[in-house]
Amino acid sequence: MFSDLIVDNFTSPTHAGEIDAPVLVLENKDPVCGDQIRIGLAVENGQITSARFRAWGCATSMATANILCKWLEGRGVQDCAEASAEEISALLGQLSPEQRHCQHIAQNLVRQLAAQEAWP
Amino acid sequence: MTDNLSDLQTGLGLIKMANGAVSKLFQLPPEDLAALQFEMIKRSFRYHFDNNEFYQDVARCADFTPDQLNTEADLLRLPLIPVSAYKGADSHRLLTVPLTEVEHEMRSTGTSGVPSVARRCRDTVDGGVLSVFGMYREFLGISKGAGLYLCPSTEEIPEMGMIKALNMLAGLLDTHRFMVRNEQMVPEDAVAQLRDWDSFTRHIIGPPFLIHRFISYLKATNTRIQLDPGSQIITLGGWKRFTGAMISRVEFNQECREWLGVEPRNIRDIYALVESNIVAIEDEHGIKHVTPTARISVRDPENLGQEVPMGKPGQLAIYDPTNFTVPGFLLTEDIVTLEPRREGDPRAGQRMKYLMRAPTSSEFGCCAVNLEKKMDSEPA
Repeated sequence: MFSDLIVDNFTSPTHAGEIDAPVLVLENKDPVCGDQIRIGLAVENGQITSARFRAWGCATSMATANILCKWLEGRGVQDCAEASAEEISALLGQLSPEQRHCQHIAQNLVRQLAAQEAWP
Repeated sequence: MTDNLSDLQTGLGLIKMANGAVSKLFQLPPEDLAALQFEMIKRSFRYHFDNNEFYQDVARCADFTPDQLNTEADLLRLPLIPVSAYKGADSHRLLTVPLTEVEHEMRSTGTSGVPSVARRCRDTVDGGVLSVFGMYREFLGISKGAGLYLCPSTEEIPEMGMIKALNMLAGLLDTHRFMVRNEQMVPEDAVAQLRDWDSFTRHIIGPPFLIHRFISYLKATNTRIQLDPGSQIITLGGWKRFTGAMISRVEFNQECREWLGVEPRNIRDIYALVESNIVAIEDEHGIKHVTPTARISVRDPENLGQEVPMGKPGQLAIYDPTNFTVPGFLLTEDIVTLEPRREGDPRAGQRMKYLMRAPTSSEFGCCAVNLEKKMDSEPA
């Protein structure tokens, strides 16, 4: 049921926590199961310098939050905003049908970057 | 001695076997059942202590190790996990088995909207399935008929504990239908479905607020339905509404009799929580019996290390040895009373009455309240 990628990111999260005064906050909740991810971002000169998450829900949701933070950190906001839904889904590896709601949560979170009109 | 026999005598095999013997356990002399439960809890505590670093730390901090669990009185010292820990981002620490062995995640979502996620490995799912079906057979005795489910389907809300538990009953019925779709229930359809099932004993199954809502429709339209002699109304999910108002059980029973033709002895409420394999189901006298594979303890909310006397309200603690995935020793946020054995009651084991959520709880409801909140927010 759980791939090594999900197991590692769920049991040893590297990016759990909060950022003081985040420049951007990405937040999404699955309306059916209630899983919820909030990611705070520190941004300088268009680069994401730090990403930290709080997540509530299944193991795959929590792992998704950590995977996404790792991917965001060090990248340009513009680059992340332009990532396709397929690219975001691929970050999570192969998921069972019961876990695929996490792809949508991840895609919705990244889509919020594209909706930002400006960032520092 | 074979490994299997040794596992029964000294290992976890005893617990696995007990899960499949619910009715037999109820027939034991009370002191024998208590001794068996204590032995299972003892083995379970040692198993989690030996295999769960987090729990071992908790136990060591409480200065309590498996060698110190020798008498019933020692159970009060058993470290309990608050159910709020299941919502935490670090809930992976609760696992006694690797995540790769987790087969199922079940949720409950209350008024805060933050899901509580309970993980179960194969052995824990096996135990839960056996004991829940054992309890259904013991108290509901259903093996046929039609079930009108006044709730959404598991297809619509997968992994929601309340629906999952009620859906297990469907396998014992000949036919069933879920009457809530897209968070809406059309009572006219429910009436038509009941009338259409004229060759089945009809049962109504769902959370109290939805059955209450259905009866309100029957009253408003002056529609009386006479269900069948063996019909049951089976409820799960709490009696407090999203508005905070309580549904009166006495009035509910009267209305079920008047509008559905079902006698109070055939109205059976179930207490359950996703974090545990135990359920408590009402007998024909409205007394809730706890699954005999587990033990409950009612604690003084002002001093959680003390139990309150029989009949006095307190905070529910559960010792569930059938959980092999995480330690099944829980401190819930529910206020209950432990009830005495009624004269003539043939069953051993414990009885409880659910009263309310603890005032200190961050949630005042679970799946049912959250469902009602969603349904009421939908445009008609």
